Amino acid sequence: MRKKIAETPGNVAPCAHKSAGGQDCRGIEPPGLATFGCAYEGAYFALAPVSDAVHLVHGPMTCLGSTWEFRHVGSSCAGLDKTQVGFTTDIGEMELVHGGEKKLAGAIDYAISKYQPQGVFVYETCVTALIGDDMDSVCGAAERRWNIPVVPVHAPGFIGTKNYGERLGLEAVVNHIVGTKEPEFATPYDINLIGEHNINGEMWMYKPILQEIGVRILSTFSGDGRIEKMRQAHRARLNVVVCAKSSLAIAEIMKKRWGIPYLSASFYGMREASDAIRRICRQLGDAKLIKKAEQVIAREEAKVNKALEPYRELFAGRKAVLNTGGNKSWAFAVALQDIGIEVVGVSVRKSNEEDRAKLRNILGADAVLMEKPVVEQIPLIMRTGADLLLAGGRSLYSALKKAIPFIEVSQEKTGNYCGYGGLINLARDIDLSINNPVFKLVSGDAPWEKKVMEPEQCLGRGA
Amino acid sequence: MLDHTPKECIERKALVINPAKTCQPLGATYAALGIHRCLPHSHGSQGCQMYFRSHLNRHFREPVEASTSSFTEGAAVFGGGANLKTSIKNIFSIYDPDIIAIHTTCLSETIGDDIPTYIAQAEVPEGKFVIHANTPSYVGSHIVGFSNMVKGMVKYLCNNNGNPNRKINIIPGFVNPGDMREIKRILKAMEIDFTMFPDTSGVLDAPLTGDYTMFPAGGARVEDIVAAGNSGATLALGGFASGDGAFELKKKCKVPAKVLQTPIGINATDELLMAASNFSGREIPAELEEERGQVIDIMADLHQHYHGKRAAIFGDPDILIGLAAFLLELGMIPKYVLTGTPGALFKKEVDRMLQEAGVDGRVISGGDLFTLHQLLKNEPVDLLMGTTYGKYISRAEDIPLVRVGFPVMDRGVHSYLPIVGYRGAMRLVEMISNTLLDRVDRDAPDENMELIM
Repeated sequence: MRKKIAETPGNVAPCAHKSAGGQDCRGIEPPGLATFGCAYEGAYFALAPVSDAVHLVHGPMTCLGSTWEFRHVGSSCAGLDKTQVGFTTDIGEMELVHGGEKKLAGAIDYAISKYQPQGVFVYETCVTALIGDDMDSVCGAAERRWNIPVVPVHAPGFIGTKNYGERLGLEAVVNHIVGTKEPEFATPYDINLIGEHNINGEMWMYKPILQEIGVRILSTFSGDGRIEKMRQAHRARLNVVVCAKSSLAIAEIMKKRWGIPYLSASFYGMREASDAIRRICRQLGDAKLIKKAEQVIAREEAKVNKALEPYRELFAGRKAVLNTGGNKSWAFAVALQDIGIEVVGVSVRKSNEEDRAKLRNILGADAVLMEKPVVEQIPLIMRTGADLLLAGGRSLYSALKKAIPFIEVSQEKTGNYCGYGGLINLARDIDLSINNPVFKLVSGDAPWEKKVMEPEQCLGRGA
Repeated sequence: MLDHTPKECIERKALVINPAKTCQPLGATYAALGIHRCLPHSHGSQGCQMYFRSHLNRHFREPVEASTSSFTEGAAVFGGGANLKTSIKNIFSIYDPDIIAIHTTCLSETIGDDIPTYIAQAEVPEGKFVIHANTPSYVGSHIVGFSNMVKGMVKYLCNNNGNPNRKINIIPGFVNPGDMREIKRILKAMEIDFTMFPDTSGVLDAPLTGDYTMFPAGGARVEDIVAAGNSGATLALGGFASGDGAFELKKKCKVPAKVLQTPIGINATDELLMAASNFSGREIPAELEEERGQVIDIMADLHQHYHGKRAAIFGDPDILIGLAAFLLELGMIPKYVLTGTPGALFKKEVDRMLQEAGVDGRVISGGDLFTLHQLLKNEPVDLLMGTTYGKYISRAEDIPLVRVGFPVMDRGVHSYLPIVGYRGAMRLVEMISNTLLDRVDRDAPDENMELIM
């Protein structure tokens, strides 16, 4: 082994991921339990939305096969969108013995010559980390050969969770790409969006609103992202960290390195979206901007309130349990309250102390904060008589087995629930879910399963 | 979309683009789910098992339970023994399965973990089982992993106690629970006593009852797999996924083995019936004869709509061999047959089939979808058949897609309905002809739009 595996590149920023158990965001579950994602997945998902770059996975095929296109990220990069193409070196036995560096170099060369990307991200995996392939030197040589950024991303699966990998992925970008090009012009209203992956086009739900107000989005990490834009990100006046605690680390690095202040914001739910817009404008500190923001917010909120009116009536008295990660938990809780649904329980497995305090504040004293949602969520639904579970894909089918209406809120979801328009989508999907007639047709309630047969019912049976 | 796939084909050695396979551990997980009350366990990093669960629960739209050794850097350097032993202890105390089926990953294979020794050192409660299969991700594909796990079942469980019986063992291959149900229905109709393993019916197509259990009612019973060593014969359906298991059983317990094609289409189903009849001495019942006649009737009714149409098919080797054979029976032309699973045997077999039929087709093993797309750009076909991943090519080249194989993650119901047996053949004819006719309707100018076709 040529390289120390435990090495964690650029590990400078504090981690906002302390959970109740004192685990940081590298926290790995004890052996023998059901499973969550790995660091490689986090890194790949964090950067895969950059659509003018080739994303090359250096490992056995499955690492890519399990992540490629599993999440739909919107890209306006028509015709050249590389997010829909999966590239891998598909390491085999030969490389295990002789090393995979030669194959990697060949793969980079082929991908660059055929796809003309603006950059290449090369993702390390468990096995290529273990055999000690020197990705840094292979990428460095390719970078000099082709004169575009070729960024090694060191987040092999075994070093931690998805969140940790996401952070390592973003750190690699900050260390290799940001600050390598000056923008043509700068404005006092330039911001970066960090941790926004534009899943199902969620970023597009609020980006036009920010633009209308006069905020310029200089760069995104990495929803609908471009290498070119990322290179200029160091000239932004503000970093907006959207819904991912793991991204705080790079906001902190950028603050130290380029003096860019940052704030956390969420665009799920009407109140949160309005609050985010206000705080961004206030931070940019321009009276005209703030005034314009208030106008736009008033208009959008009026529109949403009108659209939600029928749903609020429909949802009166309805209760939901929410199992999603990080600060999405309170963001979705607020969104649910906005459409008139009571939130009786929320997962805090991936939340930090700040999230928990915030949740308590939002939900009140009675709501349950679930530390182990996988075990707790179904009993909680049964106990509270909740009408709906909002959770990730792997809870989806076990909830449906109990005939519990379900809304998927993970990265693989098909809905778009962000911004003002997203709230209306959420209300519509919840309506379609809880009011579908199938949930009245649970098979245990078949007519022949009714306990006692009345005598007249037995007549037809020759009684 | 994939509009920027270049037409010009250049040989690639270093790079796979848009893979057409997944890795051994996924196949091993699927096979393990075909044992009643079994928890598949992945000995590697925690991410791996989550991906298999994701793939499987998106394909079947069912909960899939599995566990992992959750490797850290420490385990990667010093070995995963401690992790595995802790896992086994935790699994039995928390989830209480009857059996744990461990598979390895690229990570544990690379560091060379000795699984049998770890199992021997682990605390396994009385009456419970732990089995394992070596499934290095960097070799083969999910089909090889499925095959290895079936072999693992035989090695650990099957036992010849000296009292042979006339039962038949069926190893169904990497097919949907709907296919397994259909094969069982056929054997029941023939009144044959059999053991199918693995058997995911009742596990990955369990009904909605309003109750959730971690281990549904279905799956092959451990005691039946143990007793499979006394059976009179083993029928392995699909040489790639099932052959090795059958031969292992022959080696270990002297049970005669016969490898058949996955029973897709008329001939392959005939062969299954004949083999089952020969081994059991049972006759083919009128019910199945009637079904066979119905499929042929359907094929006669509709042949003009698909005869001579050219198809590109991709997926897993056993399914592709069955599909290619059936397409030839239908009078269609399997122009491209591509599997991501490496191995020269597949190419040899399908090339022979095409040559016998006088069809000029291209067969590729160990290929990727980028290659298939490039071939289609150069010489398009009328129909694409394969997994969900084909939808991008289908859209870019405007070729209709029939979804078949694993994984299908963007449509439902497929896992409940068979493509094997005569019933499966009916369903395939329906899917193929409907898809082609929908295209004719879509493309027809007003003056050519027909009511009756």
